[in-house]
Amino acid sequence: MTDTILSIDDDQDIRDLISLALTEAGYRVVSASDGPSGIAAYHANQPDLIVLDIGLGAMDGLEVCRQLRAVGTTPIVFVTSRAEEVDQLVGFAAGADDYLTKPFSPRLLVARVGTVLRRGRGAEQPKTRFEAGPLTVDVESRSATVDATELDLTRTEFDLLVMLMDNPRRVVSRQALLEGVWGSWYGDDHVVEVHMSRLRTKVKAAGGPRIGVAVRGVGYKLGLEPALE
Amino acid sequence: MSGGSSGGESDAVLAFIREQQEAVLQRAIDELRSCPPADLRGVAHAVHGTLGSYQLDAAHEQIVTLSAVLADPSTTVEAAEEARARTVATLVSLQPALHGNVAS
Repeated sequence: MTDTILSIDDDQDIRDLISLALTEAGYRVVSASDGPSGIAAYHANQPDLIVLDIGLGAMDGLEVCRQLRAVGTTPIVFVTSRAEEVDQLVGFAAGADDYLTKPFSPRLLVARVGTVLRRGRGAEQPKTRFEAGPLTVDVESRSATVDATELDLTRTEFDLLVMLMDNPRRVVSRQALLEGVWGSWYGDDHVVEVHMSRLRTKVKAAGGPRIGVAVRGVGYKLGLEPALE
Repeated sequence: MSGGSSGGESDAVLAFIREQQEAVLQRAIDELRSCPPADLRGVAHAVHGTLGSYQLDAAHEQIVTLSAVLADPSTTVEAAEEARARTVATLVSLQPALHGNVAS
């Protein structure tokens, strides 16, 4: 899905240049010329990132940034003529994720926007609930069920199940399972098969499907199509 | 004068910049000419970013010089107005080179 960028700048020439550069880079761009209309555009468009000038008139960009921070976490990149270090510190203190000074290079702006978007996605919270067929796992409560039947799993079996359900369409290597469940393991990697076998048995005894299907020489896959990811 | 720092921009962005340079410079001249003395520093600050972003490097340098004069606390109102007039005259002298500018 195309990311939407909101550009707020009182200079039409700058808005035009930002809009063209970001559109060329594949983003959808909406623009606003002052603080209040920028905040309105934020609520109307729910952008993925905001490019914000500081010198906007009565409501400056710092105030816009503070107001947007009070209602959400959308990344904000300042693009401003204020180039002093103290200006940048004030911008970051107001909640900016990055700071670019004018004059700016359009391709550098595009690069910064891409980086901030990727950084924001990397910081997304890990999933805590997984569902696949009759299986449900809730990481926070460390509970696993087959339909309504609670599974009595050891810590190791539970962690193995979470790793499989977090990668429902991939084969998870033995090494990845060792690192993910045991942290570091210097012994025989057949320990994975031992615990996987017990997990399989418990799921089947509760009426569930066969899981932890071995892929020779590689690792294991969940073994059933997930109902939800 | 198109400022040599194309910096590897995409063809579309570079074409747009070149097509807009003449109008951007004209707007900067108009704003510098017409603003009241009390607003001159702020206007210079604003057009500085725009001229540089549109790769109008020579014009941008003139604004940097003007801003330095305006930021000096010893600069009198008369000296500021002289600096404004000099800057506007220099910017006007840069216009012919941009006339009919198109992307190469």
